[in-house]
Amino acid sequence: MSRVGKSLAPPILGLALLLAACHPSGAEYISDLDVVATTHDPTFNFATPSTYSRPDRIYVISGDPTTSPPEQLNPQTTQLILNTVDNAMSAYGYTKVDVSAAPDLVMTFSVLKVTNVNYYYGYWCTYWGYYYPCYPYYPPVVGVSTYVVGTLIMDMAPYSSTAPPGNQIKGVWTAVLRGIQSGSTTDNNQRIVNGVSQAFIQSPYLGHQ
Amino acid sequence: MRTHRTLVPLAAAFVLLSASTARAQIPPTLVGVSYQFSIPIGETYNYTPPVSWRGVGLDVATFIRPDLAVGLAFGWNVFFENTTSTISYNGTDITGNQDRALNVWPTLVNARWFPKISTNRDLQPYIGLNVGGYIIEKYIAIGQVATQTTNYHFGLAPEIGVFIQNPVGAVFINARYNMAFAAGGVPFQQFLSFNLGYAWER
Repeated sequence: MSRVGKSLAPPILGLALLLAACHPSGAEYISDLDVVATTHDPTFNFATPSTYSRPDRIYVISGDPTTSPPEQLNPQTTQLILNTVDNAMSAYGYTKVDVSAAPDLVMTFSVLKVTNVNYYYGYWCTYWGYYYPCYPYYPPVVGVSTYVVGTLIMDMAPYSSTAPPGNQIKGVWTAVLRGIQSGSTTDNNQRIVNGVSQAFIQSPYLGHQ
Repeated sequence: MRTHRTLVPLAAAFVLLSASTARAQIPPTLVGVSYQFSIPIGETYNYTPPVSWRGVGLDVATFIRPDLAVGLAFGWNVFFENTTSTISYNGTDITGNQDRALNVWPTLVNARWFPKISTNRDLQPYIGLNVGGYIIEKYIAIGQVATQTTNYHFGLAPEIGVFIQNPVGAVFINARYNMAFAAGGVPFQQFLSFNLGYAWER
C-alpha cells in the first residue's frame, strides 16, 4: 500500500511545483516599464493660484554637464509635452500668462537622458570545468546591448519676482516620468502624452474648478 | 484510438484511487501531498485579488488516539496580480505597470479530530486547528524597479476536511482558513485554501 502511495507522490508534487512559481510574470512591452511619479507640498493651498507661466524649451541633461549651450529636446517633442501640459492646466482652471505678468506659479521642465550599456564575455567550460576554471573564447566573443532611459521632470513653484536666497525656491509639485526609449518616435510620443496626462490625472488637488 | 489509450488508464487509476473498501482504522502515521488553490481575503485580496491556482502542500500526521492526530503542515501558495494602478508611497503617488506577488510558505503544527461516524471509516471527516508561522515574501515591481520583503508571521488556520480511504491510501479534501498576523509592516493576511491531496501510510 505505502509503496503505491509513494510512487504517486513525486508526480503529484512535481505537478504542483510546476504550477507554482515565485514571480509568475514580467514586463511584456517596453511601455510596461513606464512610470509616472508625482509628489506635492501638502501645506500649499492650490485653490489660491490661478495663473502660471512656463518656458518654451526643454533642456536635456545628459552625460557632459559642461556642454555649452546645453542640449535641447527636439522641437516636435517639446511642443507635444508643452501642449499636453497646457491642456491639463487649463482643464484644472489655470490660465497661462507671460512670466512678465507676475504669474502665481512657474513651471519648469527638464529631461534626463542616460544610455545604459550591458556587455558580456563568452566563456567555454567542459566537464572538467568542475576541477578547472572556465576560459574566455579566443578570439574573444563580446556581446553588447544598449538602451536609453529618458526621464522627464516637471516642477511647479510659486513665482517670485526677486531672486530667492541661494537661488533656490521650494517647489510645490513635481512630476517624474521615466521610461525606456523605443525605436518608434510615434510610440515614444504617445507614451509621453500618456505619461504627462497621467501626472495631472493622479494630482487632482491641483484643480480648483 | 490514441485518446482511448490515454483515457482508459487514467480512468482506471481514478477508480482505483477513489474506490472504497472496508478498513478498520486509518493508518497510524500518514504522509500526504496536495494541490491547493486559494481565495484571497482582506488585505491579501487588496494586494493580489485573483484566486491563486498555484499551491502545493505537504502534511505529516500521527494518530495519538483513534480519533485524534497531531502533525505538521507545510505549503507554498503563490498569489499574483499584474495591474496598472496608482499607489502611494511616502507621500509620492506612483503609477505604472505593476507585478505584485505574495509567496506564502505555511509552516504549521496541527491537531485534527476524527469523529467516529461509521465502523469502517471509509469516509472519515475531521476538523482541525493549525498553529505556527507563515513565511511571506511580498514582492512588487514597478517599471524597472522591484522590491521585496520577507517576514515571518505568526498564524492560525482552522481546517475542515474528509479522508476517502481506498486500498492504497486515502484521497483527502480539505478547506483551510489561513490567518497570518501582521509582521514587519506587512498587514494581517488571510486566504481560504482548498486542498486536494493524496495520503499514504508511512
